Amino acid sequence: MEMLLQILVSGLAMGSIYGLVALGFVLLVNAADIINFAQGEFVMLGAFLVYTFAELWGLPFLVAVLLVVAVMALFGLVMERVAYRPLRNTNAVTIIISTLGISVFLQNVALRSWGSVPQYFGQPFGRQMIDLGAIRLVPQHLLILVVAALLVLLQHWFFHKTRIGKLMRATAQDKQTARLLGVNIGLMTALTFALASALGGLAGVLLAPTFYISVEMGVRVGIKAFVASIIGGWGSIPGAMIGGLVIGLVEVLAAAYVSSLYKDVFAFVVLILVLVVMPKGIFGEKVAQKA
Amino acid sequence: MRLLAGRSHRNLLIVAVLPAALALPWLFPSAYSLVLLNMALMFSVVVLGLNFVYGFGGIFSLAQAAFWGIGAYTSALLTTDAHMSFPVGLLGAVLVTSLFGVILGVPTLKLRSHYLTMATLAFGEAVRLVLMNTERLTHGANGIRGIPPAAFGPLVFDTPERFYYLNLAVVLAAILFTVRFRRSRLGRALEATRDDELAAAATGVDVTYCRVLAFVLSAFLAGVAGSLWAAFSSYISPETFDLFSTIRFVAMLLIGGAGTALGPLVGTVLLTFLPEWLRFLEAYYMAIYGLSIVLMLVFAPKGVVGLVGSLVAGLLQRSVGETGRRADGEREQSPLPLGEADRRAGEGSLTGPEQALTPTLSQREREEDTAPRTQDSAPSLQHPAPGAQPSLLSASGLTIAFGGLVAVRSVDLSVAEGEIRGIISPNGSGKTTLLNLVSGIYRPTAGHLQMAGERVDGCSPSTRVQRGIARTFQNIRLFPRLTVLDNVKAAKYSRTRAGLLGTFLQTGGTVEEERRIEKQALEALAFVGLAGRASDFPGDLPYGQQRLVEIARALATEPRLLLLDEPAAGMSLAEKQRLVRLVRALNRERGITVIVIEHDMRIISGLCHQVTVLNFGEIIAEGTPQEVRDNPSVIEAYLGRRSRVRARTR
Repeated sequence: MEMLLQILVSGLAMGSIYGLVALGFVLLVNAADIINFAQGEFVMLGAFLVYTFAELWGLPFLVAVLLVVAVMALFGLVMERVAYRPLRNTNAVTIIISTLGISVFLQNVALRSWGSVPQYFGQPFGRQMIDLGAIRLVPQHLLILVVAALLVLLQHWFFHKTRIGKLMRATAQDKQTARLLGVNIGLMTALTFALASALGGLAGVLLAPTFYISVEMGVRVGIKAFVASIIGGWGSIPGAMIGGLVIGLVEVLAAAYVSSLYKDVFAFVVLILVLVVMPKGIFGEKVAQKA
Repeated sequence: MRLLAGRSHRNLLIVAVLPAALALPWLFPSAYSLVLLNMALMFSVVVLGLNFVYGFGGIFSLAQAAFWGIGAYTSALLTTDAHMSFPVGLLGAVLVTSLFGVILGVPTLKLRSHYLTMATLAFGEAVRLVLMNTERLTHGANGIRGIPPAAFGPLVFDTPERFYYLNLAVVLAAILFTVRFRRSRLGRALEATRDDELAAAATGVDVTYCRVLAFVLSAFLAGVAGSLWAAFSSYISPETFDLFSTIRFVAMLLIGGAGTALGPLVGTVLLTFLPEWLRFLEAYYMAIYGLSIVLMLVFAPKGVVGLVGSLVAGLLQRSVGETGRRADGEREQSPLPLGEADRRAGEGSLTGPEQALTPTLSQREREEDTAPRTQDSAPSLQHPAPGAQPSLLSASGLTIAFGGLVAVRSVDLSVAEGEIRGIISPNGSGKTTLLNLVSGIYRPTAGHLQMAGERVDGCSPSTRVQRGIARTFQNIRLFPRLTVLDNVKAAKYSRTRAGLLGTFLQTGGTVEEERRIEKQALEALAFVGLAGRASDFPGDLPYGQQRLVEIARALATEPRLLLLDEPAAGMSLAEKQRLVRLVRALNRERGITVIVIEHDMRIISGLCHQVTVLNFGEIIAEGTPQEVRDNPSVIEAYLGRRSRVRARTR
């Protein structure tokens, strides 16, 4: 029972990470109608950047985190300019492959800058456990849960209460009508890229202390997050978070009770099951399909 | 691009390119680059396969590396653990992958767009994980070692040089097949399905068959490449066949040019050698490689082959401007011309005298057309007496409901052979729905539909085309990426039978059939007066002419019954006059029965023998145009009346 509780906490923590990355996926699916294969690389980049700022440069942890968010947001804007805007009138597959080019670019830049040896980054809590009588918890997992919950609330507030958030939602729902109403579509799409990139970076900051930081971590997280966004329902923001949690839980439960070798298979088994039973995912399709 | 396919160009290609290809192993300085070249050729076979699914079929599949892996593993296991020879391994590989092509192809047909892509993604990952984890069969993560080299009897391809020739032969065969497929009945049908699935079904294309075929062909080629890969590298392991391989294949296809025959080879060679060419950048060469993918897409969104194609086409256009103008001159002499003089002649009333006459119409027809006709003139054919002629199409109690909304309510309709029947109604009264029921796009909730005495209400749209029902669409649905001629040729699908083998081998029967398709398609275009625009794309034609192409496409299916859904919408007065003559001609000269939906009452009066009036999905009147026009309930339906409710229940 105690063990189950521990497993659940770590599953939910991993699931929150997947959910945050999936959220970035979904934002771009809605705003730009593309699948961003570089989303996982944002996580990797965020992890390496916070390591550089806090560990190598010795900046205070919170300053380092803010710097990561700023750099990642800036990177999102650049990526929109380079890899999306010139291609936005071609088809979706071309843009997807273009984001793949960015992904290869980022992986190799990271490889040159930080090397192929995985790095350890312990901030802010290090690796000690908290003993709560029978259960022992990893403080980083609790931090992930708290920050993820805060971010979900924050994005809800941002998209529903602020003017710019509403404009971004309008853009996502119907570009043409939004344009007719005078919304600057290009700017909103660029901001969405910045937001998705910053979210990915933050997920990287949160993930960094639970694993070693490596060039390949982005791919692993990216694929799981993609599956999560499908399970949650294409284009659904709550679906992305729920889907992430489902994948996180399935993964740790399967590793603990079935086989840790097959741990990665289960995410895809769930995907196939969901596609068969609920082809539109848990939350269905938010965006009406443009025929 | 079409111009490049000329016979002289082809000979040039063979004379210049083939010796170069054969000499290539001697031109390569290092053994390493020869290995790379071999890899590029094997990849290009995989990508040529992907081209069938994505380039021609428009299905974004992420399962290609999985098919490749299945092929490699089947062949490797047969030649190692089962001690079979390489040909057996190859055969086993293509059989198993083709089978998986069917397995993936059939259920994914029900899924659309990104769901389909996800299903292929899930399939791809599942295959990799199975390869990784079924250790007893596949040796798991250790992979398979000691795979013997490719050999056909005494012919052993055990060095990179020898293997290169085997590779080259396979690639050339695959490209040849692609070229022939694209110009075949099946290729056009698949491309039509990609451009507009519904319209393809309504012109007789078996959409299901075409899409499964695309999956099988892609899996087949991936299986061949997988078998070669296993024999060439002598060691395989599961991680080669992951999602990133698939995505690299998609990148190769897009950068080379999807839907072209040479694009897969060009893109593959480019992306395989690019990292080598970038090595002078040393540490950052792979990062620049990633950026180059983005840059190539930005500057050549249609791929390298597409870019070269449009550059060449542009140059040719400039240099043959003279000939082009001559072709324009011919166009004006074509039947039913749409030149300026004609438009001027057509100004005035719809029934006014005309100077521009079509040679396809008989002399008698001409006289009739030149004869002045008033708006109220009776149709030139007496409508057949009820019951005198057997009805070609008959509906009884035809009903369809969408949820609670009954769009068509127990419609009884009987259209005699040789008749032109008009269907009119106020907007939103179920005309197009009725047409969709007849052409098979909708299945009725209740009621029967008979065509020439046979029940058709359970048949698919393509089966109904075979039974002789053809249609046009209110909102034009041509295949935008096929030429006008290919649009019409695609409609010959249900009347022809060339299969894959005949297409690949270009057997006598296939060549003969293709000639017949070409001839009949050109005839159909000439009939509507658009022979001069055969090689244009539909999007380059004015609206009215696009409608005529739709009619030509419908005629190419050799229909007995033609359904026209608002054929005159958006047409100029002159074009409308021409349309009336055209429909009359195909009715009289070809004996085609016509059902026409139209809002323009002058067209209905000038064309139809009988008119059926629908209101709120029910028939409220039927008779000659004159009778219908005088019918009080029709007037009421259109104009309204104070005692509307009482009148309707009458």
